[in-house]
Amino acid sequence: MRVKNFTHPILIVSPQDSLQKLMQEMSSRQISCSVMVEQDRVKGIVTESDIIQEISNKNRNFKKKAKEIMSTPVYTIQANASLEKANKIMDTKFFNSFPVVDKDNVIGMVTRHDIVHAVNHRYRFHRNVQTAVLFMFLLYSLAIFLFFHLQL
Amino acid sequence: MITAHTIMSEDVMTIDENASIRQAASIMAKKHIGTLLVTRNKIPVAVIGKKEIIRGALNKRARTVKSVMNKDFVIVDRETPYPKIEHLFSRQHARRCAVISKNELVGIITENDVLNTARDFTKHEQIRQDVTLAVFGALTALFLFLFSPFGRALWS
Repeated sequence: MRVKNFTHPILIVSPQDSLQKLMQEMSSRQISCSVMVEQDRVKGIVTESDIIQEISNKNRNFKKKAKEIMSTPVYTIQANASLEKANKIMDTKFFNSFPVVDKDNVIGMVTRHDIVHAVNHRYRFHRNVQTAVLFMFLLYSLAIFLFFHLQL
Repeated sequence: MITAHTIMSEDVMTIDENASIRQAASIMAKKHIGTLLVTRNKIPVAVIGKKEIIRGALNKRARTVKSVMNKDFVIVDRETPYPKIEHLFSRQHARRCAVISKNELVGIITENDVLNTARDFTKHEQIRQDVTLAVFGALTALFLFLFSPFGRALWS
């Protein structure tokens, strides 16, 4: 399974958009991060933490432009990357979500929640296969035992 | 056994329900945390996360934590076993859990804590299962050998 199978819609805005607009969009669509794209290039990312930082300022100004609070550089992951790779990046970089790109185009975002769920789901599937194989081994050995025992 | 105590975050931050939204945002930004427990007379009554803070900042009439806090949270004892906590998060869609011991708040469990534990648990289980399978495989092979004509020739 690939990262592209677990992508969510992402909010794509211009670096010139206001923070107010960004907050309204993120709040109404229940999205935790948005990427700033200019000329088909990812320029930066604004997460809920960046917005909280701004809200906590005494001189907060929601008319600020998104480019003033965005974080750079943006770590992205290719749509064809494996789940294990995404899992590893989330662990080493301490991200909870990051944008998924197909070549240079942002196609969505992937969250820690989805990755861990997918890894656990795959583990359960493997566990069931392993249990089935184990039972087959046991039945086979029992059959062999009975066969030779009767011959004895 | 994995319990609530094993997986909870101990550095739980609280805020009074009458504090301002900006104060809550300030604590979150300083401590790099995503959730605060809201208290009334030092008793946890709700939680407030980043989404609630943003919603509150957009609403000019909302000034205090009380107006945007989320009462959808669960309280568990520190000895609650992990499967029960996982059930709360996966089946009952809890997102945050306050952990108490002798009526005192001792920690908080978020969805990320449960997910990380599930992953570590999975890794541990996977290794255990692989070892079990290898031992069973080796025993079965030995068993088959002993009852094969070659094996029988050895011990008869």
